[in-house]
Amino acid sequence: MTQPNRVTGGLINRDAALGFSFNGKSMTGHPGDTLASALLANGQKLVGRSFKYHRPRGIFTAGSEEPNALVQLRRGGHCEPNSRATVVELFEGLAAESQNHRPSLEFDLMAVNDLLSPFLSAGFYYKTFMWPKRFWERVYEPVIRASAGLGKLSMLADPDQYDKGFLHCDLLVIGAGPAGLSAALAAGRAGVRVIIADEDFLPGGRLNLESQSIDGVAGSEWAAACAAELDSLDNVRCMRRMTVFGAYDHGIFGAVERKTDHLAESAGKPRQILWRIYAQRSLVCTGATERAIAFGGNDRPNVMLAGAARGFLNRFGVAAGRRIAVFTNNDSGWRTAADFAKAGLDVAAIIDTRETPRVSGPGDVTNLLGRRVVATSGRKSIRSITLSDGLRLSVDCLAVSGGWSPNLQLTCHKRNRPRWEERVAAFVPGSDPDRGMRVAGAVDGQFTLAGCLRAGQEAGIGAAVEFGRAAPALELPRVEAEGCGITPFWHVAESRGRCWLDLQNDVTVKDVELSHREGFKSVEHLKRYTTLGMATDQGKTANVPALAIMASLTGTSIEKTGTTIYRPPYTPVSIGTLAGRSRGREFRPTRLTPSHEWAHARGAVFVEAGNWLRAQWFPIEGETHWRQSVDREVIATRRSVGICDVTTLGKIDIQGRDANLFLNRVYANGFATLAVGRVRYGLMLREDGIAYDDGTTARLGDNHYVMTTTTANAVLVFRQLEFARQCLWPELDVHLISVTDGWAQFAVAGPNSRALLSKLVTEDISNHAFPFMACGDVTLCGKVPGRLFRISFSGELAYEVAVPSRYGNSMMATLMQAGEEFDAVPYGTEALGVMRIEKGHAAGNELNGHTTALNLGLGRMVSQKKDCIGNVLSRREEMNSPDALRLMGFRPVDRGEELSAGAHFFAKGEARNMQNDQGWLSSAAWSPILGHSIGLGFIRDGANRIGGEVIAADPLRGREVTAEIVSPHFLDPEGERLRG
Amino acid sequence: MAEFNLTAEPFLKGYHRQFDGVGLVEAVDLRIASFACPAGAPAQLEAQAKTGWGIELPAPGASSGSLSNQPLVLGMSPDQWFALFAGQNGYANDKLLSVLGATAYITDQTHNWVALKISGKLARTALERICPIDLDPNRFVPGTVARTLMEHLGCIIFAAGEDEYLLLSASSSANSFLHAVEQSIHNIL
Repeated sequence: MTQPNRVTGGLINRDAALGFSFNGKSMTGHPGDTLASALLANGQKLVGRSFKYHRPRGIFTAGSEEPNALVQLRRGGHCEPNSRATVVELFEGLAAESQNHRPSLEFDLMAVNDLLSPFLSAGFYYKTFMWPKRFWERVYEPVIRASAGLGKLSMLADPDQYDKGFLHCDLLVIGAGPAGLSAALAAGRAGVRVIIADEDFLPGGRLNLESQSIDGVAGSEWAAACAAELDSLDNVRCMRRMTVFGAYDHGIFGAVERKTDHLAESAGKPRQILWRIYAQRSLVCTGATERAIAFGGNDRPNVMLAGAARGFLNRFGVAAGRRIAVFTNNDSGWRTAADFAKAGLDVAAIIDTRETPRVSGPGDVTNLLGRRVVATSGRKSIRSITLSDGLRLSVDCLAVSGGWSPNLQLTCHKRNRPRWEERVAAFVPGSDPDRGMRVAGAVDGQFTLAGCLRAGQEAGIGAAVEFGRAAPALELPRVEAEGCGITPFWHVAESRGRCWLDLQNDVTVKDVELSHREGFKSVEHLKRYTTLGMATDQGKTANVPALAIMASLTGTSIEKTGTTIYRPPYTPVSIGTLAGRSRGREFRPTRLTPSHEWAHARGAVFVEAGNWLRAQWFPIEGETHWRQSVDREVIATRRSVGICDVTTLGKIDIQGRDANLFLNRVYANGFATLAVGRVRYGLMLREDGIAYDDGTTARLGDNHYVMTTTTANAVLVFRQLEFARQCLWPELDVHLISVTDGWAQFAVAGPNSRALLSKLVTEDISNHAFPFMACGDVTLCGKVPGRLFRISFSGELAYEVAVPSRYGNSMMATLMQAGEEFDAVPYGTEALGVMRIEKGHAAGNELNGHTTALNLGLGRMVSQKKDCIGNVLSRREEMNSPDALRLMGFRPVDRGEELSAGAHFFAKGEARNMQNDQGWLSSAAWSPILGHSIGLGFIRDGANRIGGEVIAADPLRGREVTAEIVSPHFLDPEGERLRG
Repeated sequence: MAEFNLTAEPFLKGYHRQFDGVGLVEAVDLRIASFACPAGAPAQLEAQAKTGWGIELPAPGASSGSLSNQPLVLGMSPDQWFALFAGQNGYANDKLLSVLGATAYITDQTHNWVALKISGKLARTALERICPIDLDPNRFVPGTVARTLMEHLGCIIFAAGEDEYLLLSASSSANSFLHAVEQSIHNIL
């Protein structure tokens, strides 16, 4: 297909052709085109269907404010719905599909909605779908869901890569139009560290869309020269294809850089980058967006904004129509007529709502002043317009300008409210957008090129001075004089047809009137009631006309009516960009234990414990079920010796003259008497008296301790201790540093653990020399310094031996080698869990943030002789009631049955409801030693109910087991093994 | 006991790779220890450091000494420093103890950290993708140190030269950290 609407001029590369397809139809364009300009060049005026009524729609704008031309871009998992054709840079092989129609764009059965529009007015869904109730989820919701939205997700994983990053600058200039370029040049030449960002791939803003000249050269040439100079400055970073979408606290901005969206393939590189920009100062030069006038049939394809029409002509060499009319209320619309006439195109008329505009158009163009367009005709493209005096003109494009609205969104993100500026009939940024933020150019209501250049330059010089730089001597560029007069005109009241305001959400003037009649007069209510200003374009072309109409209905000024303000993002940001690299395996970092490599080689099955990967069990040949492996590991450990990597436990090095006092305050039990060379179990409470964490602390020297925490709470406990040290008791001489990663630590448990370790440890570790709860520095294999702790989680004679973590993998292999004669086994977290349940030790399931020391059977540990965190509030009456929950053991009365963690306890014969709930089973396991299922759980008054029976009901799994309440210590209740 | 032997293995097996414009190497020969100043006794510690090493103790974010003139001392907080030694012989806490004695609380940190050296003209560009710190060479001048987060991992970054940085991160997540840095390099090339 040729490009019938391509004319001369423009900033495209005509020497190269790019093939692309729209709805499967092959077309060609050129480098420098957007998808929208290429579609128009190829004569494609109908590009989409509207949201609610499925009305035919065409390209309305030439920028990121586009409400209509939304397409599905690319194919398969790469497909991105709701892509705005006006900002999609054309590339070879681009494939786009139109949206929101069944079955086709040209013939959309859903257009029946348009016939039903009297029933589908604003807010109709608030009044319908009320009954019958049974239809809510079965009928209404599926139908509404099927109708909702414009584009469709591919439902495939996104194969593209995304990245994020951090940028820093003295001055962030947002927008590379005339004001932004002038500012960046002034500040950059003065040596200020500048980042200038623009959403377009070609810096220049409207300079590329207009025919104005600067210093005797085309505005686009001037912009290109500026950009080239900025690129050459080491202290300036000129970032193209980058949208600053949000302004946040402390001078931080969010921005998306589209790195490969303009390429057919990303080649494994990030498609987009989410930047966090730290700027000491910012200058918003985001320009302004043209807005429409509401009149009958103003939504037909090829009714477009006047600035867009001349933009397509000047930048892309595309004539949106061969016979165009301009309908305007301001001077800028006249430039469209002038540019079209200059290009040799037929301008049917300039229709200005003003009687006496102070502007003149091309000599041979008819000026129809003081008149309005009241109606249009045409289905898939405009064919004619009818004016207020009855005159009918045949046209194939109508260019409309209702004035310009500053793009002040970023200035509102910190709650700065815009103010109405009568001079330009627009909202402009409020007086204090944010500390360090300035505005310049059209965003500030400067609607002439000269004004933008001057404001930008002054702002750039001002920034330079603020940063202590000498102001560069600069001359203002010379430009032609231009008018920017406007007489506000929002709505052609005599129009009979529907007058559209928000093209994306199908909001009409009638909808605003209905909102007013029903009492939704506030701008915030208007927005919610009609959906005005929602979705991808956020009403950039529609908001102000709608507010103006509401103002006229309420009889107040626009200023008093006010405007909604804006939140990030300025334009849509894809979810993939926000996720960045954090997907799949890289969703979070992985921590490996020092013996991971050894365990992996042994075929260990791993489990995620927070960020850690821990060996869960070590299957051997012939084992087909995890229980076989775990049972074997438990039996082998209790029979001889087993080894488990317990490095994941938090380790905190505590030193200082007051370390002892500090520990005595953070633990609920006493630590004042802990001797050097001894370890003690400790329980920490929260301020509210609830159990927080437990572990052991070893005293290595007079002023030196090492604390262990649970794996899950390692960071939280460290943070809590730092808070206590720095904020609660700054007078104490205590110093903390984490050593969790520094030491590889292994539990060596079982009757032969001492014999095994004696082969590796130089020092005497006999029961006499190194009794239960002893600790100390040792030497391993004759040369490596280590630490040994005689503590036991399994209930067996056991030790934990620590070596510097680079030795960890070797240590595991060496322990196994030394243990060969004892048939030593490695064991994983499952066997660890079984053995601690058999022994009755609480773990994360029991320390769940709801239980107290009393609940855990550790009530007597909370010392009443000292002050400590949580001590006072742990004395509350309810927490010490006689029938409080107690941690008890449970076993099925029928030993063949299996207990399940999470089951709740009920008395026999009572209904299974909350009122009768007596507690819950927190942990359960199969004990290979006892030969039946066992569990730990909390039950009311448990200590006095040993021997009693309860129902352990597990409604989630549909299981009920009669369980006997027993001591939580299923094995060796007197602790003879661990002291042996 | 003679039949048993323990060997230390680098966390990243001595990783080293030269990309186009960026070099990335695991620093396997660093010994690290932290030392903290007992409350109320900074003068003794400062005097001991001056006598033993001939350096002033740096403020947080700054450094003194160098790896070539042992040790390199990094200011980590108002009362805590890291001392870095090059070479694989001896233990960092022993080295500190011999100089500082009881004037400081010393903790060996050698095995807590994996160390990566990233260098080259694109090193800063690569780090821009994961490092929130402003690494402009006029601001984060050689000798500056900062604690930060990179890809959710705690990290210490030290400007060893104009285009050279030493990165320390927790040893248990060494592979994730290396991947994060490698990915950053890949993404900018």
